[in-house]
Order: sequence, then C-alpha cells, then structure tokens
Amino acid sequence: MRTLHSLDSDHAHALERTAKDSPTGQRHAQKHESAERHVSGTARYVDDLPLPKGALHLAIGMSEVAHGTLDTLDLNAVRAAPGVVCVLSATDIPGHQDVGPVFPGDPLLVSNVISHYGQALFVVAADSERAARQAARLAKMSVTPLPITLDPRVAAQQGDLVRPTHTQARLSNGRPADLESVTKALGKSVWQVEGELESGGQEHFYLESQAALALPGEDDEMLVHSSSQHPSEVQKLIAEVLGVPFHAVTVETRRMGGGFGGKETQAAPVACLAAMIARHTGRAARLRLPRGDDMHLTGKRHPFHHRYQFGVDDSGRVETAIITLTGDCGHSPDLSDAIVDRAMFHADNAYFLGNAYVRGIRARTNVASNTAFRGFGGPQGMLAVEAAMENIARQLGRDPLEIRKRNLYCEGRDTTHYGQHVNQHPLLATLIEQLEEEGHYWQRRAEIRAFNAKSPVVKKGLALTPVKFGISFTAKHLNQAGALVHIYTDGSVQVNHGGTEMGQGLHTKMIQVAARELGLSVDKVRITATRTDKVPNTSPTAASSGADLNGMATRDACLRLKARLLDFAAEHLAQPRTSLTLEAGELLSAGSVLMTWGELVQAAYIERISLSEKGFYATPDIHYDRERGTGHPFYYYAFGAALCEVVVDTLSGEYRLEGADILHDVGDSLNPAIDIGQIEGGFVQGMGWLTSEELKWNEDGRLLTDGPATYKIPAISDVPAGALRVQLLEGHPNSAASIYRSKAVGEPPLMLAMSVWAALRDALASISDYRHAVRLDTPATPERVMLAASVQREWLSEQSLHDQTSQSQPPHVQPHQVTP
Amino acid sequence: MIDFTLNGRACRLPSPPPGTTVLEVLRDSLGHDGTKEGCASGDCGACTIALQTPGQSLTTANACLMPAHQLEGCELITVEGLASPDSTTPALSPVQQALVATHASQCGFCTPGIAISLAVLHASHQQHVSQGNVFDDRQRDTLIDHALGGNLCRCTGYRPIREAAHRLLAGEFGTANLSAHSSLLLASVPETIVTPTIDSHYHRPRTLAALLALRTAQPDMPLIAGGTDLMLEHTQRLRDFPALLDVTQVTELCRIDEGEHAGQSGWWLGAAVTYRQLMPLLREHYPEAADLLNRLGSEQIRNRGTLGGNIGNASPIGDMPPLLIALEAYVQLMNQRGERILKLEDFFLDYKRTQLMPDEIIHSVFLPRPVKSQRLAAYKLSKRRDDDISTLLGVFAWRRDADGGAQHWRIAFGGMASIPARAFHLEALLDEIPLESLTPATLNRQTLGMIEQATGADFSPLSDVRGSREYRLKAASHLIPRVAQRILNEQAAHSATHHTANTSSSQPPESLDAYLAQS
Repeated sequence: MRTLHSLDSDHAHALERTAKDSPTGQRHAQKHESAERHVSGTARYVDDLPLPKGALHLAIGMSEVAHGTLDTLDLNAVRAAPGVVCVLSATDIPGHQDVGPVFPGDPLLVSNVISHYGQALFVVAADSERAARQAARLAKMSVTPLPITLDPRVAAQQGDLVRPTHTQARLSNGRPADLESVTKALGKSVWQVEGELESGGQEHFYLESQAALALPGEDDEMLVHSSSQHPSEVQKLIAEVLGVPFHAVTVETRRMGGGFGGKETQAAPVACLAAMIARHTGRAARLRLPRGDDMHLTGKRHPFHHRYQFGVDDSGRVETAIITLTGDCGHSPDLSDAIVDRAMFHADNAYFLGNAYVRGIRARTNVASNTAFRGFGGPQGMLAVEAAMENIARQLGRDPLEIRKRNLYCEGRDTTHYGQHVNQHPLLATLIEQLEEEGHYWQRRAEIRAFNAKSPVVKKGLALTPVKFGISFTAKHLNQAGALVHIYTDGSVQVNHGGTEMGQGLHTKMIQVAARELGLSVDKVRITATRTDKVPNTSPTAASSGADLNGMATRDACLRLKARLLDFAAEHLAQPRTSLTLEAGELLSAGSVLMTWGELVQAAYIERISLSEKGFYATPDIHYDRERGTGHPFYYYAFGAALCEVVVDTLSGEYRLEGADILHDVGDSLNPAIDIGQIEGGFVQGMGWLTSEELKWNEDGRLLTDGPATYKIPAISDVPAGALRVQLLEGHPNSAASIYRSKAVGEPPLMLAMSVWAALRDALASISDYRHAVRLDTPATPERVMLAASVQREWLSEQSLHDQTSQSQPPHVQPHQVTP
Repeated sequence: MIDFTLNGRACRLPSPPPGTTVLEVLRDSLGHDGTKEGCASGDCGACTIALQTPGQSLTTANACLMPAHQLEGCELITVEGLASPDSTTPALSPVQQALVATHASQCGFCTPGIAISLAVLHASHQQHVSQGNVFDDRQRDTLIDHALGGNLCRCTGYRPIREAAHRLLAGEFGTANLSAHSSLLLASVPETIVTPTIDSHYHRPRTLAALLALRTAQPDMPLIAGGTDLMLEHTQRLRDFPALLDVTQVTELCRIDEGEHAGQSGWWLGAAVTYRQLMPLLREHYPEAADLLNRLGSEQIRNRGTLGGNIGNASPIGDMPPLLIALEAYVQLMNQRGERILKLEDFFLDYKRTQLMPDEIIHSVFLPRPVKSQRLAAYKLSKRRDDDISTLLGVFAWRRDADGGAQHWRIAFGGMASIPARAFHLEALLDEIPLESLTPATLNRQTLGMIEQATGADFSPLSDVRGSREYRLKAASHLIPRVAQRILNEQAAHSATHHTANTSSSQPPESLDAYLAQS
C-alpha cells in the first residue's frame, strides 16, 4: 500500500515537534485541555457529579405504541412501587407543555396523541435509578391506535409533511427557473441519467447518554447541569416549562461525552423533566437515560429518499439537474426545516449543476423526531449527485474521477444553484489533483483492474471524492457569539464563552486564542464550564461554527482587555503606546522587557483599571431569501477530498477499507492535532453511517436496533493499521476573515466517507466490467453489498445474452436511461 | 461480605443483592466514577476494568456484566488505580502518557475503558517479551485489534489510539507497572464500606456435590458463570434475581482434561472454562476455531464468557455450538442421580429449549482430537467484523483424502434456524458433486440452483435485525463455492510445493479473509 504521508507515528512526532517549537502552544498542536483528566478518569460528566442529600433518580415512562390516542394513563402501580417518591405526567407541567425548539410539535410529556414508539408519557422519581426504572414499567394505559406511517414517501404522497416543501431553481445563466423550464432544459441534453437512492438514518451513539442534574435553589431558582450543546435553549425551555422568568434558571455544561448534534435539541426534554421533579419535590433530581431509552426516545440523522435526473453532454459534463430530496423527519418539525434546507444547499456537493431544480420535502413519520447530526442534512444532500457521477461514468465508459473533475466548480461555472458564488473554488481541483498524483490514482486504477480481472470473488474498488461544505448557520440569527474574559490579580486568566465542549477541542482552541492575544502561555488560561449566567443568549455549538464564532468573541474580549492594559501601561510607564506589546508573559517596549504580565496586572488593578471584559461577534455578509431560494447563506466553504480503496467479497458482501488518503482544507489551522482528530473521527463516523450502522424498525414502529449489540458503529479493526492517512492542505488561508483565517472542521470531514461508499460501488461495477452502475442504498451493509453484487451478475448474464443476439449494437452508442 | 482489593487497597463490601454489578458497586457505593456506563450490555467497553483472579493472569472485564460477588478474592484495578499511587500528586502511568501524547482522547468518555484495556495489553505484552517472544508490527496490530475490539470510541476514529498502543508497546513510555502496585496493600486491614447489608442469596459452591445439591433443591435458581448473557436480564430487563447459583468455583467445571469418549480420544472441557482458557488448546489443534473464537464478542467477553454458558443459553446463533457440532462434540449433563452424555447436535430442541432438565447442569463438553486428515473452515458473517453477533455462521469439517479431495463432510450453521443445526442436504451435495464444478469460476445457474435448493431444504431462516431471510439463504449458499475453492487452492498449493517454488499466490482468493491472509 502506497502512502501519501509518512507513517502514523512519524506524523504524530511531527505534531509534537510543532507543539514544542512553540512553547506557548498558541496556534499549534496543543493537547486537549482535559486530556489528563480524561485518561485519569477524573473528567466529570453529569452522571459523575456528587449528589446532594436526598437527591432523586428519574426514569421516563415510555409509550409502547407508535401512534394512538392516550385514553387513560393509570399510574397507581408506579406510585406504589418501592422507592418511588414522585410521579408526574403532562397535567403536572406548570408552564408550557411543548418543548419544540423552533416550531411546536414536541410535547414534553404526551397528554393526548402518542406519535412515536418510546415517546415520553410520564416521569418517575425514586431513591435509586433502578427503582425508578422498574417502577416506570408498571404503568397501565389504554390507547386507541391510529394508523402508522413509517415510509417517508408514503407520507409525502399523502401530503403529511412537518413543514412546507421548499425549492431552489436556477438556470445556468443565473436566471430564475421553475420545474417546467428546467425539465425542458433536461430534454435537450444528449445523455439522461436518472436514479433513486435510499439513505438510512444514523444514531448519534454519543458514549455518554443524555443526562441532566437539576438543583433547586431559593424561591423559583434552578441550577441545571445538562449534557447539552445548547445551554441557552435548555434554560429557555426549563423556564417556560416551569413558568418562571429565564433569569431564574441557570444551565451549566462543563463537557459532554460526545454530542454530534444529538444534544443540540434532544438534551432539553431530559433537563426539563429533571427540573420539573426538582421544582415539585424541592430535591435535587438526576435523569440519565439508559442506552436503550436514549435510542428509543431521541431523534437520529434523517433517512432520506433521493430521486435524481441529470442531463449530461458528451464529455460527461452535467448540463441540467433535477433532484428531489425527501427527508424522513419523524413525528415533528424539530430542526427538520433547516436540515432539509441544508441537504438542498449541498445537493451540488462540489459540482456545477447548470440548470438546476432542487426540491426538499419534509415528510412526517411515526418515529422519534429526527434531528441534527454532524453535517445536518448536508451529507444526505450530497449522496444523489455522487451516485450520479458514477452512473454518468459507467454510461459514458469513462472513469468516475474524470467525470468528477470535469464537473467541479471552476471559473465561469462557479455559482451554486442558490446563487452563491463559490469562493476559493480552485481549491477543489487542487485537492483532487494532489491526491490523484500523490495517491497514484491511475497506477492503482490499472492494478485494480488487473487484479479484478483475475479474481472472481474478491474485487477491489477505488474512488476519489470531493467535499464542499457551507459554513454558517442557515438560520441567520444564530451566527452570533459572546465571551467573558476575566484577568485575576495573580495574572491568571479565566475564559468563558458561549460554546460547549463535546470532545471537539473547542475549549482548547479558545484557550489558545486568549493566550495568543494576551501574549501568555496556555497554562495561564483556564476555561470554565459554559454557563448561561456568564454568557447569555448563546447559540448552539453546532454547524461546525464553535471555534469560528466563539473564537472571534473571545478574541474581541481579549483585544479590548489588551488595549486597555496597553493604554494604561503607556500612561503609567510613560512609553509610546505604539511601541508596547504583550509577548510570552511580558510587557515589552520595542522589544525590551518593561515588566512581567503579573506586574502589569497588579499595577492596573491598583490603578483601578477593569480587568474583566465581554466580547461579541456576529458573522457579516450572510443572507438568504427563502422566498426566491437565492442568497449568500454561507460565510465561506470548507473543502476536502478523500481517496479510498476497498476490497469486497462479492459472494458474502464482506468488505474492508484498505486505505483512505485524505487531504482537507482547514485554512490556517488553529490546532493541527485537534483538526486532524476531527477529520479522522468525522471520516470514520461517516463511514459508519454509510456502511455498518443500520437502524431497523418493526412494522409496529418499534426501533429494533436499540443498543450496541444490534447497532454497530465502527470498531478499531474497521480502521486497519495504516489505512487512515490524513493531511491538512497547507498554504491556503481562509479567504474570509475568520478567526486567524482558519476554517471550521467539525462537520465537513464526515462527508469524506462518501469515498468509501463510492469505492464499494466501484468494486461492484467491476463485476460488469465497469459497464453498469448498480444502485447501492446506504448503509451499505454486507447484505446490501452482496445483493448488489448479485444484481450485477444478473445484469452481466443478461447483457452477454443481449450482446450475442444484437451484435450490431455495441454498448454506449445509443443514449439510454440508467434506471437502477 | 465480599473481600477484594481495589487498586491495591483491601476492600470489604457488604453483600449486595444477587445480580448487582461491579459497575453499580463502583459508581454507587465506592465513589469510583472514573469507570463509565456506556451501554450496560457489555458492548461498548466504557466500563472496562482489570481483574486478577487467583491463579490467573491479569485480564479485562466489563464491569457492567460482572456480578459483584465474583470480586471475592480478586484484585480489581480501575482507571483510578493506573497512575502511580506513591506520590501525592499521582504521575500519569505509561498508558496514560501515551494516550495524552497521541491526542487519543476527544470527549473522554470511552477513555478510561480504553486506558484499562491498553494497560492490560501492555502488561501482557511485556510478559510475552520477557519470555523471549518477539512481535512484529503486524502482529502487534492484531494484538491491538483483539485488545481494543470491545472498546468503542465515537470521536477519534481509532487512529491515534492505535498509535498510542504501538508506542506504548514499543516501550516509549516505560514499563507496565500494573502488577507492581496491585499487591501493594494486600496485607493491610480491610476497609469496610458502609452500605446497607441485604441478605445475600448468591451461592458459590466449591464442590460439584454442593452444586448438584443446590441445583436439585432450587431448580428455578438461575445458573451463572461468566454472566455475559444472564446479566443482561439484570441490566436491560431490570429483573431482580432472588438468588443465583454460581458455578465458577467448582474445580471440576473449570478444568480441561484429556480423555476418551465413543472410541475417540479428545478433551473434556469443563463447562465453566472461559473462551480465553480454551484458546491455547484450539490454537494448537484447531487453529481455524481459534480464529473464529477471536471474533466471538470482545476480549472482555472472551475473558469471562464460558463454554457451558454459550451452550446452556441455547442461542440460535451461538458461535461455539455450530463449531462443536461440526466437530462431533458431546455434552455431558449431570444431576445428583448421575450423568448422561449426548451428541451436542441432539442437545438443542427448539428456540431456547434444550434437553437440560431443571435439576441438571452442563458439566463438560467432549471435543474429539483432530485426526490427521481433519480439516476445518469456519465462516462468520456479521455486519461488523469484530464484537458482533453472527448474522450467520457456517462451520465446515471434512477429511482430506489421499489425493487432496474432501470426504466425510459435517456442516453446521448458526443463525439459520431456531437452533444451531447441521446442514444434511449440503453435506450430501458436497459428498456427491465434484468440487471443481462448485468453485466461483465454474459455478453456473444449475449448480448454484442445486446449492440453493439444498440450503433451502436444510434451513428456513427468519428475517431479523441482523439480516433478511433472503440474505441468509444466499450467503449460506455462497459459502459452498468459497469452501470448494479453498480446498482446490490448498490442493494446488500443495502440489506446487511438491513441484515448483511458491506459486500458490497465483490462485485467486476465495474470500476476503483469504485475500487478507495473502496480502
């Protein structure tokens, strides 16, 4: 196996060297701020917090039907169970009953209509978690069943949508379009490629399940520790549920044991229930969902149905695209409006679609309300166009890489189907060409073809796919952030900001930002838990935006402090203001040391200079006209590409990743170690989504894959030694004025995993001698891969019959439709 | 009372209700919150602990599935015990340093479990090295895959964790010191943990007679060995066990003895023998079976799970029963009145129903010694390669005849019926049709149709969460060309070594595993 890069360990040594070269670690491979605590078991999560005396443990009583009216709910046996202290149902909610984050539709506890299996009906508080859970199973209820919809296409046909359908349509010359004009354009292309695809959902499987601890205070006050990506929304919803002003509720999040979008909205109900019990009993209350309950109760990545029609010219260039994306939203809107929007915004992935008509349908089904998950619809949006790239290649007898390159955004073809100019689009070709060359794409292609020709069972596949991902919340108002920085009189610095730490290293990066601006070493700076009483009205830590937004806010606060301190120093020490700098813990004037940081801080304090400051940031230049489906919703794009090789056993469907070479654009990295970690982790999580992670429900709407015994996220051997080789694109700072010209990195790498799926399809295509593209729904489990291989064999035997009978018509002469 | 040592300190715990797990005790009673609960079903590894039982080497276990009563007499090491306890500010241990240096933690929730699995790997690797065993990088990767296969990480993608492991095993962070301090305070006065005492009904007989007497007296009392399946009743279905009958202290059930049965020599494998303990014997005599065993559950499960448990719980899949049926194994059942020995294939009656009478226990399994011409192939198909339950498992045993052909087929499948069962029609088919016409290259519609017909005659599988009926039938049928090609490849390799130098690699691989073994 050729490698793009040096061996893993060399790579890490290089990272360490950069950390050492920069003693302050301000911009480099600084270790995670909690690394030592993680490895020592002393990093505390909500379930580890010491409980006050008399604390209660909670469990949720869940519905055992997917749809119906709750006629009676008899909780007498629950109340009578040993250890039970308090049982509350919908009628006990003092304030708002609905905890829908954007639109209503999510009852905290069901009072009337049950709309998915596992929905919360009541909450039990007991003196132990086990007692609460056992009691929760004792409820008696009568339910009048209602018809169940599990298929989003059926829901769409019936017009059962959680939000209205949205469309984006634009002709290649930039004029507005409609279905008629785009359909007309489609008919003009010499080649028509169309198909369908289904992509499955994905369970977040954060290792720490949803958890909250509510501590009642004086009067109506409540402090809640929540494992949440969105403490401000948890605060808001608790206040509304309890019927108290927001200022009575404080939410604190020190860290999460993983989030991935699953704790953006789904953490709030758990926290609200804990707060309700705490209010009702006056005792501390903790709710931590057992894994199975978590999987039944909380939403997942949206499954999608994708339908696509492409008009293509003789060179394989797309001229027209009609794409319909139907998102399975579950029973309520939750964030589905924005998620399906983001799928639509990414229906082009990295390619110019020409005349485009993209439609997004939000179907309602009787499952838990699907929600944010790393990529937020973007990954699903990209699948159709990536499927089409291979289909075009097979139809034209070209290599898929050639087709992909031909369609990349480029000069003159650089505006998306929603009218945004793609800044830095030449990076797409740069990334692909560098991987193509350094990864020896064509040599490997030849070797793989030779191998496959001789190997009837085991087939290899290769694919190189790009990613372009738009950075910003598409809900404009969320693109704001605040920070609070205190300098104490010993010179130590405390930083607080609106972002939350879920493992992604945000706090580490924020420490680095503060240390850099104040000229300090990172050990002088401490991050404190995210709290709604320190930085108010924050946005969720989501949309990859944590470092972009909070980094700018933190920098803003530090710049203000620095300016104030330097103003003071100039006056106090009678030095020219412009000559003063803060570096490595010292105040310098034109390079010579005047005093230490500690002395400066002390002097400023004595002179009654404020040592505390807040910072704020709002992303400029973004807008989107939803009426017209055009605008500039993204501040910038992040890019990446991955070259993957797989080997497939076509008789069993078993497969293995042989190698993944990844080149990814993070602008000027804030922390290469953390960024590489995000890329590796995102890629493997994306690979899980597309390969082994399969959600299955029975016909009654009960989730069958409700634990890790049946729901299989990647394990260590799925990432073979040396197979994952990540490189950061060097020398291309963000063209947008982001924090130190870095780029967001949380979500974009997940979609690099499309190359695994594309490589599997490539291996399957070899069965047809690369003449036929087979449909491969995701997750591409061994079962789906084997059945697709059977389809290919059938195609081949039919084709050879056909070839024998109609010698006069070799393939690829007549335009024909590929309808997998 | 349960007496054990916790991170080197003697610990005395009032007996909790039967079925209480080590994880519950650690987190709820002992204030050791470093060990995390990720799933409470033994599938994620966040609760991994290290355990030294008397006379055994240090191993990992899932604290969520281990009954607290089995801590008796053990040394337990949790993440809190990894750092050196000597200094007032604990210094990070080698494994912890390695994880920090490689940026191998992100959210940190799986990290304590990973640190424990790595620390145990480090210690056992060091022991091997001190005995003169040397491992190359690839062998180390296999060790790492096995040691960490049961530790899920959702953040990192594992690359840095693997790097931490490699650098740790290379000695970059010093030597493993786990065993050094685990005996530190063994002799000190036990510290009593004050929790309410509840009458215990956890029985751990030390003799077979006592076990059989208890079994006769209370036939409803569940038997427990490793607990890797039974404990799910406690953690997932929230069942309270009024009492449990633990078989793991009965010497006869923990032994592997050479012996004879039905005119064959072989081994009597005690029902409480763990997969881990079984491994060396299989590695030596049935290497394919050892490879299969390496994919059964995770290291944590293999360290605790037992042969008797796997047979007794009568799973339709059960990785060991199809293997043992194909190898013509017997099961020895015993009660106070005596014993009986059955062919294992006759032991299973229907879904979760066996021949075991309420007063009986599984005493041991008789595994015949392989005859010289004995060959074996075990094919496990699952959604994920490691730590996954089979969608289906096919085990093929045959004897090589003089000219390299195959005879005396015994084929057994798991996951294809309500019980692990033999595939008589497929056996007959392989006996009748020449292998040459069953290879992937020669297979045609007619021969494939014959295979599929035989599979359909043997089995009528269900669609479930692991796979559809269609996939199971097709995939099971596709194992026939795989095994046929394998035999022909072996023949070719065999004759090649007799005639010319190494030409075996010119044969196309018959399976992914064969490809990986070649490359």
